[in-house]
Amino acid sequence: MVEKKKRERPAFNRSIAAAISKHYKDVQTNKPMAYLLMASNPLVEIAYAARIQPAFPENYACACAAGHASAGYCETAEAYNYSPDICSYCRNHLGYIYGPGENPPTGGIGEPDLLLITSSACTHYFKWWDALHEIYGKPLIFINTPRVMEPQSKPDFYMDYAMREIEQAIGEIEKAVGVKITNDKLSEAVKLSGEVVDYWQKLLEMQKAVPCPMDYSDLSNALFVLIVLAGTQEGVDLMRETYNETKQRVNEGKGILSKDEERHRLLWINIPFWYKLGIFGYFEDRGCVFPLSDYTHHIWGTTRMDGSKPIESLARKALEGELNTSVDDQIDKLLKDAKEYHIDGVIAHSNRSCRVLSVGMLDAVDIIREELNIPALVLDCDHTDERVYSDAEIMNRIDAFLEMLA
Amino acid sequence: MALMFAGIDIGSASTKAILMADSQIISYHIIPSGSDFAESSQVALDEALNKSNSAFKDIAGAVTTGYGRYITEINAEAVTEITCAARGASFLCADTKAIVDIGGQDTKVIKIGKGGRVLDFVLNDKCAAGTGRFIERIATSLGLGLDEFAARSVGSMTKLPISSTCTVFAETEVISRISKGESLDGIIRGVHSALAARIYGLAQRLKIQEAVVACGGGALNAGLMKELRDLTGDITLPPTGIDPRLLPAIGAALIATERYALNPVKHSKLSRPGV
Repeated sequence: MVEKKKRERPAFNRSIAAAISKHYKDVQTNKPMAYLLMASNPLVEIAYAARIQPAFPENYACACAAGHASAGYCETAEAYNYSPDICSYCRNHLGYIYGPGENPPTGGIGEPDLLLITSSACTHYFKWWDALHEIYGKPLIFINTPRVMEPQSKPDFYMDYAMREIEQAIGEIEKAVGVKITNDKLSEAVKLSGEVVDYWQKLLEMQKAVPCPMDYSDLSNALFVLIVLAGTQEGVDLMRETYNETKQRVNEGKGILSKDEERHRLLWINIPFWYKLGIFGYFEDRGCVFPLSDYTHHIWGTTRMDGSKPIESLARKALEGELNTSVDDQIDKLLKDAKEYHIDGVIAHSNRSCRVLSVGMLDAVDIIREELNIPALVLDCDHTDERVYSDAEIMNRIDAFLEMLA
Repeated sequence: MALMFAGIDIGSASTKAILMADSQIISYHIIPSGSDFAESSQVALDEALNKSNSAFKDIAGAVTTGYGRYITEINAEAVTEITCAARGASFLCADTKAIVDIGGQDTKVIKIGKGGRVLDFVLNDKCAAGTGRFIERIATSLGLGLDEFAARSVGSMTKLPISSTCTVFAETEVISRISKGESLDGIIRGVHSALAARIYGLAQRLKIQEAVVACGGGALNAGLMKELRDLTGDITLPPTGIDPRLLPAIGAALIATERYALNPVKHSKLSRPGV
């Protein structure tokens, strides 16, 4: 049996954990509060510019899964006629609303004053936000964006349309909360968001180092800063701290594993199993790191934000997110990065909940496997609904994959 | 005298223990796994030892495999049945390019390279409908033994489609068709055909087209093999006299032999309670 090792985690994780804890206190107390979705969402910066506290039900689902509360919440939602075929982020949240229990993870997520949604992520979410509108009766403000098939050649009228949608949403938000969102405030939020993105991009670039300086859990933690704190000075400070420490680790040749221990660099496709993040430690104990994932590298944090052009930057953020682009584009990015990050194996999570990330995934796996001549493993599971996870099956497949790599 | 090595495959349906020396099978024993994997692995190994008139202390090294590979009181090294089945198939049929392993818990398609190295593999998704249990469960619900179930499929001239989405739903469909007075043999063939189609779909994911060996309990089912051959055209069984369920255990014994050769000290301290 391989020995399970206790590894020293980078110190920035403690600062991020404190920020997460503060965020979940803020969503209980700060008013007005709005529910937002996470992916490529220009409404985050707008919310901060309007002094609206954003809360993210998807992120809350991750917290619930990590606390092993999701399965119960999903069951509750199903009892309220939400089918098991609906995304488990959604079922987790609705189940929490209908039956939070005595001690919900993080103390709960609070009731919103406003519901903000964009079409640039998952189409599934409109109905989720519809349900929230039905439950809470609060204003629902929606930004519609056209689907971009080729991000490098999007027609000008796409930008014009997205900018008009954003301007219109700003007007509706001002009306809903009675606060004027000045150009200065919006520019400042976009500028700060841009600084977070710049640090994030440099952080991702550093994952190319051997040994890899961060593990998947560290990067997932930092995602909280990128998404939830986009547009805040707190976010800039935390991302800078994360970047500086990681840079120092790279300069010192310090990795999650030592250079000798790091035997395989794997690509993780799709969202991780939030209730089983320890799985990455299992891989590390066997000499494997994950410097690359579509989830950390491609879905968000890809748009350069310019504080002097806030509306244009926000429109590009909405249009350029990977969930708003074509499967071909996603595969091209994965293939290019797999080469640059020296990937020698693929773990692909065929995610029952996330069809938008799973459609085309098997093609991506085939193409990477054939072009790079590296092995791949597909795991059928779910990002939040722990009932779908079968330890014996998953671990047996992982063990066989590791034997194949050896 | 050549050193003796053991391969113990503790699968969900059956436990197989094999003893090999000088790359030759000395003896083997297969028993149902039951609910106590530690006990079934001991019993299977003891029976194999009895058949070869040898004792536990005569085993130079061992490897355990299968879903119960960690649940044995023998302190042997554990290797997955995917790696072991590939090694076993390559040993028995040197030209093998792939295996279709139809077990009780899952169905695997394994692409094999030189020396029995696993190049790639796929398993059925989370559903009993893709495994040998699918056939076992429907045969049981019809009160038929597996041999008769397979024979009726082979003998049927008709094939009635049965959904393979879910074992329980397929059972319902079978009952519904029987109640409509449809041909039982045609239904049984439809059941075998549904599983074969799922297995074929898996094999297509790895683009496997030639030199495929079938193993696992499913390979003993003539009805399933016939339907698979109809789809693939080229799927064979292990050489005559080798039970197709034994491939992972054979591979385990061979891996034990190789590991002992690399490091005899590390791999010779085999023990179990009371021995």
